[in-house]
Amino acid sequence: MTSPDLCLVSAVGGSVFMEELLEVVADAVRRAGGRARTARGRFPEPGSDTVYVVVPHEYFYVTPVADRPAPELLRRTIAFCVEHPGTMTFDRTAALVGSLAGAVDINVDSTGELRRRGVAVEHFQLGYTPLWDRWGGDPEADRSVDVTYLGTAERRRSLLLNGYSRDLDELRVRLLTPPHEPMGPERVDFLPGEAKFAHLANSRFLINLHREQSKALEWVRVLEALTNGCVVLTEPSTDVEPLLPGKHLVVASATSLGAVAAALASDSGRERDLRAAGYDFVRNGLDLPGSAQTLISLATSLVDGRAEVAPLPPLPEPAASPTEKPLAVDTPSWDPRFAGVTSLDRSVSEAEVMACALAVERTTFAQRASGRDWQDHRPAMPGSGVDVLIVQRPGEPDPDGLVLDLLGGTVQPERILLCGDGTPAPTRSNATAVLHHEMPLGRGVARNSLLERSAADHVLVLDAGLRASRHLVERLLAADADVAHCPIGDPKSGLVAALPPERHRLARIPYLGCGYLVRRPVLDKLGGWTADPLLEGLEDHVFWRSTESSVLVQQVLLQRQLPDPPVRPVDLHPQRVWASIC
Amino acid sequence: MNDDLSDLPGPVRAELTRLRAERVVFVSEREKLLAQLREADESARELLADRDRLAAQVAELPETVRSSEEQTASIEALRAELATARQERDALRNELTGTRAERDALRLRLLDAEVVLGGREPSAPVAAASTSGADRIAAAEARAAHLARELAATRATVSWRVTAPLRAVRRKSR
Repeated sequence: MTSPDLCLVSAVGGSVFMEELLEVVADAVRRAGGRARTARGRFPEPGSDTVYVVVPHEYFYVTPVADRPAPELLRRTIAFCVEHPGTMTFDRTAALVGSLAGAVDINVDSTGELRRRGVAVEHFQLGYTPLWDRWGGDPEADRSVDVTYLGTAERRRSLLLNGYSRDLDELRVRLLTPPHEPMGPERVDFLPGEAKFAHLANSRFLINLHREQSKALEWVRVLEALTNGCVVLTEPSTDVEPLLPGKHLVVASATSLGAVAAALASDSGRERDLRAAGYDFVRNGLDLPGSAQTLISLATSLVDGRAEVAPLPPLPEPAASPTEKPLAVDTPSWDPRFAGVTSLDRSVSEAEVMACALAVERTTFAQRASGRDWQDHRPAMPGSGVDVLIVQRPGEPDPDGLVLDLLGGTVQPERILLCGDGTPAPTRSNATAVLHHEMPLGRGVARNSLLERSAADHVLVLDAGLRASRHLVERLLAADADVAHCPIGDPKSGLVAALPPERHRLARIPYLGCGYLVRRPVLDKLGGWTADPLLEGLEDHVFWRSTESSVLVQQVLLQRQLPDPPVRPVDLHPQRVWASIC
Repeated sequence: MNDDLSDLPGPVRAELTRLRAERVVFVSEREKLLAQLREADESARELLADRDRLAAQVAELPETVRSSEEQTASIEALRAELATARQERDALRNELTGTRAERDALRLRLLDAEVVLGGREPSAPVAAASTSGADRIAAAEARAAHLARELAATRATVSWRVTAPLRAVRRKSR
């Protein structure tokens, strides 16, 4: 008897990861001697021996009602379960499996929980697949990334990643933290399929953190890493077995993972042992062919289409495909008080409208009347081709610590030009030259004045209140881009400015700020920064909206204290200010 | 003057012509001498000014010598201070290297402690393990926490030590 025709169907508009996973399963079935194919959207017309496989919590929630399979097809459909107990998606899965003819589950804990609930489910152990392996087991292969992280941005994980930045400072790091949104094609912070496997094969260590309250090991991600010789460092998980902590991967408390990565990076023997043991375990210790045989056997038993199934539970009607993808709601704003469109809801009083106009008028007057005084402190140090512009606004911390960070960096700037914009004139500074504004004139005016003194090819734009890694200038320069920027550590959000500039996102939220290295011609073309007093606090947002190309250097190279600016027009009349930009 | 000398006797006429020629030469010579006199007068005035200036400098010389001696002393003092600062910097660099090595060792010890703890599931209560296992885990947990604190303290110390020369320079330059 020939094996059944397994058709693994993913939902149009579903996760690209599920599609990749079903491809792996199909490949494993074929290698085990079975027949398997993949499809998207509506179930293809069945042959006499066709059995379908779907990831239920996604397929039935994403596929339009008209495209859902008829009951007779559900009698020959197997649920491929991937979610852990304790999550909403697991509960969706559990509610759906009774409506399908059979079920397999890739996790030990969820298999147990489904069985406890009376569902007949087989454990499907994932394992080695050549579809994922871009390494091949060569222990001498070069890896240009020391530490990587792949996971959607979320506050808990961002705080942890920021906490690792000092331990990882000397290492080559790539933190890929895309927003929690439906992801499409490859982008700088999202690597599907081939790009992901190549990246893992090029990385020494993967830090693995759970999303929100989850404690379950991200098995697929871990297997992808181990298959590519990327040593996994994870926070404690509920279902690590049959992997052995300390042998196949390292399990450490979440707050220590940065120090653990730095320790392992300095111990090449241990790293090599972990890499080899993890790869060997995935190749020889996990029985994916056996799982494929189980699936074939289960499918064989369902070919007649006579399985008893319950009707599908009530399901929400999937929304029509939106013309514009929804944006993550948890992307932190750069500004501590103004978050773009979400800050426009409150009503504005007449007094606030008037106060806004007065604030603009006051700054306009100051821009005409204020005294400006330059003081030279030290000669320029030619060589790097980088000048740094730092503006200190009223209420912001003394920038001298930041200046010392830059002077102690691996690449020293030619000039550090500092402007005290309405702040007390410093009696002494380690900057090259200091411009003192008697009255606050705005960050844009201050930066434009500093720019006139700059003569370098690149300009690094910073604000007081930041502290810099010693590698900041070196790594931003290495990006060799018109504009290079990096995520910035923040005491409240963990990471801010961790996403690349995207027009649709910038239209809704000012999520990018200073901390960028820009080529001088780019600034000259833009005419510097906006000096409009109405846009105080949004000067960088206006810059980013005008930026045509940039590179995100995915390592935390700057830390900021939580800024608390004085009241600005955008705080008084946000609608007027935002409308003037958009 | 009548230039017609035809009615004069020949010898007189010749003598007069010679005298006239001599007069032209003497007038020219006089102009030249007058110009030289003016130049000499100018030079004399400049020399007098130089003399006065030099006299003033001579008067200031003791003060200049004193100031120069003070500057030399100051330069020597600064050189000595620089040498001390360099020694201090080198000592601090050595100390930094040592502290970094200490930090790296602490990280490795932390790694070992975490590996001991690693097999424990996050939700598994310690009491579920055997008594000796529980003790071992508790001890490792305490050790990991202690090492993490020690590492944080070392980091703070490293930062304070590394910035010491800069702080010293700032103090001196205030």
